[in-house]
Amino acid sequence: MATVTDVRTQERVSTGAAIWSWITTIDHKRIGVLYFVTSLIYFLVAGIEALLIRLQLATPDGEILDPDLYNQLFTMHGTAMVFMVAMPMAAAFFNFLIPLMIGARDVAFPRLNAFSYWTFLGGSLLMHSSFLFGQAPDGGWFGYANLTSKEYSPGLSIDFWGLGLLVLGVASVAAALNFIITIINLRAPGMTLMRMPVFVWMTFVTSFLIIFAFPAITAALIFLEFDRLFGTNFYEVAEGGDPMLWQHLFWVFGHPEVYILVLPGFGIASEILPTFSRKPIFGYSAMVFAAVAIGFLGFSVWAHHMFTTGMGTIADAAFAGSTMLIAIPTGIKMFNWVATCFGGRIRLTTPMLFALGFLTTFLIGGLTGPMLAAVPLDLHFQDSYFVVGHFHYVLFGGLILALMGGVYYWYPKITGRMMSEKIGKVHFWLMFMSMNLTFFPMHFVGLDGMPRRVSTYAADMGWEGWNMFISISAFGIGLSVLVFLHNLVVSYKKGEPAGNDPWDARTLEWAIPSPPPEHNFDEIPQVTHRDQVWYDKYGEGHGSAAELSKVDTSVAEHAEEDEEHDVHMPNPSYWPLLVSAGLTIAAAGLLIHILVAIFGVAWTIVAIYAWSLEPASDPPNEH
Amino acid sequence: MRAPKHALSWQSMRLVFLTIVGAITVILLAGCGAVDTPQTALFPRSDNNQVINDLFAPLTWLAIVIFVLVQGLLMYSVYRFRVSDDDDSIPPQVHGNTRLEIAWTLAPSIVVVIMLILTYQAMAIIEADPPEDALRVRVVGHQWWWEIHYPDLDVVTANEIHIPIDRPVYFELESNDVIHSFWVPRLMGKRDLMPGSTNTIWFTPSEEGLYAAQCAEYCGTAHAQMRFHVVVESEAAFNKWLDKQREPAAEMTGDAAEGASLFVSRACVTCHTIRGTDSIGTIGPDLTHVASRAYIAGGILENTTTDVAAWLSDPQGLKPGNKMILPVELSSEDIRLLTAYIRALR
Amino acid sequence: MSDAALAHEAHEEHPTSTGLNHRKILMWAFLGSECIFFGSLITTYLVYRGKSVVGPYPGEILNIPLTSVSTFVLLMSSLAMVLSLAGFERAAGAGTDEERRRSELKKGRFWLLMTAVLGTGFLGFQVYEFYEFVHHGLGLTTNLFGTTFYVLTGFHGTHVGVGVVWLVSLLVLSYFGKVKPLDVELGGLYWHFVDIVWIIIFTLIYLIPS
Repeated sequence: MATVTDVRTQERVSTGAAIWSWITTIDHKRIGVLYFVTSLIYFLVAGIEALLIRLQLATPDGEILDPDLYNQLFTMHGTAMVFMVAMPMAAAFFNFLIPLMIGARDVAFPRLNAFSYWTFLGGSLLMHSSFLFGQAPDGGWFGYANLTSKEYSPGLSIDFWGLGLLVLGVASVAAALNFIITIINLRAPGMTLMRMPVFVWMTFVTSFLIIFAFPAITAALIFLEFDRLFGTNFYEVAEGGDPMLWQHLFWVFGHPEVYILVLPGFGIASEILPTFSRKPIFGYSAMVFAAVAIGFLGFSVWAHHMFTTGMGTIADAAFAGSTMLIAIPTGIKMFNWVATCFGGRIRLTTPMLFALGFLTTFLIGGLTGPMLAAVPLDLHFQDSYFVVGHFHYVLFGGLILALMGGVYYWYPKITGRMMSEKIGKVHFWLMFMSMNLTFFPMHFVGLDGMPRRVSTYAADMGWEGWNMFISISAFGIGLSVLVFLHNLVVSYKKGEPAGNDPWDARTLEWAIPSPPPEHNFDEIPQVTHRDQVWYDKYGEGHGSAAELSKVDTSVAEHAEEDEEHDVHMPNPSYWPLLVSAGLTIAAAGLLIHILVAIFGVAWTIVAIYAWSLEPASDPPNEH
Repeated sequence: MRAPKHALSWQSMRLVFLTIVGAITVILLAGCGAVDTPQTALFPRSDNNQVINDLFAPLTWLAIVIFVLVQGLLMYSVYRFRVSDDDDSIPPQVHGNTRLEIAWTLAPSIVVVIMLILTYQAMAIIEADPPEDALRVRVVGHQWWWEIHYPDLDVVTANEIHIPIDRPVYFELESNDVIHSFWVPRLMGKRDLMPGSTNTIWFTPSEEGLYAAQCAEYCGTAHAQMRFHVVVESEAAFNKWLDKQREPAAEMTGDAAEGASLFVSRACVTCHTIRGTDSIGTIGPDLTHVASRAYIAGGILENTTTDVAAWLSDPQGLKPGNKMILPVELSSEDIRLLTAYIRALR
Repeated sequence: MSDAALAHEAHEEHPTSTGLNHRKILMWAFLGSECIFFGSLITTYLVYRGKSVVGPYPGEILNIPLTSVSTFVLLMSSLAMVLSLAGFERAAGAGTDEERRRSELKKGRFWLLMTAVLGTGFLGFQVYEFYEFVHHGLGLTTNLFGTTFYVLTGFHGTHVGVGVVWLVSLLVLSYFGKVKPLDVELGGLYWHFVDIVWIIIFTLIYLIPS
């Protein structure tokens, strides 16, 4: 039987036991919470870095940061936002929701799931520990060779970055593999692929993108670290090496990475919009195939990041064409979202506002995308603030706003309490206005010739007005994040009880109690329709609710607590944590001393053996 | 269990909506009335840059029109179909509409085809081979300054490129260390300087002037201070400049002569070349005619007596990370004499 | 990540949506990811072919006859892997026929051992080859050829090494009755993959002249 303490009774156990239960947990919901809290902390860290950057740029010839510190801050802001905020925060949603949405009791490999989290934590701590030594990475999140070579970046800063990213890559790939198998294999009876919620589909596509994109950056980083640690010649120009090798490998990863970042946002919006429009997602199949098409096309467009490197007219033209093609599936999705709202019964709750905000800002980011793909224009836009504006619209608009909406939408499911709508609306409007006022003018300073990644600019350039405006607006975003944190905390204690289905929603997670019991479903649900919960409530759902009787969920809730269910849940385990620790020590060892690295590898091997010999559940499943 | 009641009424919600739409419009208008700033890409001063600008306008308008249409449709849906929170009615459960979906697959496809045709047309012009009679200029990027050669004219200089008006100019771009990017926004889009290979870009300047520019690829500590200038001038002025640049350094007298000997004794010679003297260093810029340039120190300081003196007294403070590390601190007298010398290197 | 570590993860008692075992799909997906990894390494080798500024160059030191032998050894190990799996599967399917079960299990173990031995043999060839190359002046940092060659074949060799350790672990565990045919099959999938990668490397690096 399960030994992990039930979430609802944990207040009664001692602190030590509670901490131990979190350390050894392999419950996908708790791991999801761990992912969320960790990525939220990094969101604050990287956000503060962004505000420091904006302080420096608020005035020309700013003297708040020296150039080296500035370069460290923009490098860590970008790296952390991509790898330690966006990806793990999406992973938090995947973890919590995927098993619930497909009617499963956990992911396919619960311990591997714990391993993914701890490895993410290890890699991110390793990279951030560089601040303690004053050696924070300063090569940009894109780390272009040969600036990152030992010759031009002596010290350990780039090694912290490269090794940290390698560890984070292991975590991402392990998690992605887990979700692929979970979605393929753990769907409830009747949950065919084409009945899965769109969010599950987006997770599925994202996971495939991760397992096929990350090996490219892994190879690129291994080359980089071999160059730096062992003196190989991959990016050594004097030895015939070519810095373009890094750019190709990095962007073969880097562009799919953009879709790795935004597809979860698509998924969240595709759940929120139908719920608050009281209509199914419009053109489900088209939505799914568009995402798959984006996934495939995403691997054929990488060199549009390299139009200024002089690849030649043919290559430029080909990549411009393939890039613009992506506008087609993206356009389909956009129209389907709008059509989902059209003719619905739209309730403007906070999650819905965020979803609508997502549509608006993503539309802007999506429209500047094809402009960037037009090679002649890109010769100006590339590496200017125009690009900074563009991708913040895509990533802040396309992902962060959607994630915020997701938090408001699923918070009741996760905690059992509603978030305050009142504070939520303040949060939304403040964040939405501030982000537009921050990122839109960046297009203008870009067109006015301001390059990216400059720690300072001259007073006579005519940029100071917009920069001051942008900096002030950026603090508006900071303020909105504080409002959000306030809401998170206050609602946890004082929020109204949520019940099973506070939003009158459509997918399986809303059929079970909030927060869900450890084993999720007392009985694995039988699925006969897309939007099963909606179907159970309203049938085919034509006409008004008054004519149809709603299922009284509260009865089911009580019945479930009375009954002791004999559900086999896997045991908690600390081996995943120990394997992750071993990996992190091995990576850190390459910074300290080779013996430490060898020790880390040995530790990892021992821990892997212990893990694989540990029985997964009681009684041991001998056959 | 129902969601809690709205805190904000419909009226106030609409007000907020209008505010945001208004705010975005104001920003947009502000952007459209683009101001002529020194480094703007929106006021082209060359033929090829004009081609880019002519592509920018239609693509931008296309994007704006699409935004207004889609966003309008979304806003209309939200406005038209909004209900209050306690409305329990259920709309028809529409799952899709094949015809509509085909329509909005075709619509973006057509837009993409239009954009691609326009793009390829522009590319055909700007990526064509430069004309035979183009002036050849070789630019070598250094951390954090620009070495300029006119290979066919036997001229070497730094950080300030002179080119004649109405004659095609063809740049060969190389790097001495890491990747840099050559970007003179008024004259042309950017092209990277790749270590180990040569990149090219060309255009024909169409208006005289002094154009500000700077490195556009992150290249380390002083990336933000790796600036340069391009002077577009009449054929006659350009030829005059060429003649001057080909000469060795002028003979020095008085303070300048004393400064010249300090230039040697204070180890400046190890890094800088001054043709016609014993200074043949190649780590820093060629200073033979440094006084003829409008700016010094990689385009960050004006070439005045005050600024040259300031630079000599604290190069690391003014441009942190740069490679000019003085072996000994210069006395104020040293600085006065060296400044006199440098200002005399016309 | 060692997949052996996941040996007990799967809820094999529960039916899966596809009827396929979790770990088997995991292995296939993982190998798909590995394809991109080796693809990147191989592409890098090819891109840098002929770009070394100093010798020794591939044509001067690659020993095709010797490597053909080691390639043959690795190919044979795949055959042994197939035979081993057959043994474990027949043993599991022997039902109440205890004698047959034992003899098949014995065969399975023998061929598992042979696979590991042949794999080790391949590694021996590789160590010898590296030793010879270093002797001829080709180090990891000598030129682009050395860099790309050692890193590519080195990562492949590491994969073979991990495979050998995995197979030996299976062999040991089988004496404790902890090894099911599926465990052997997963090891086999990995092993065949590593083998196929080598065929590609052998063809592109050794057989196709630069």
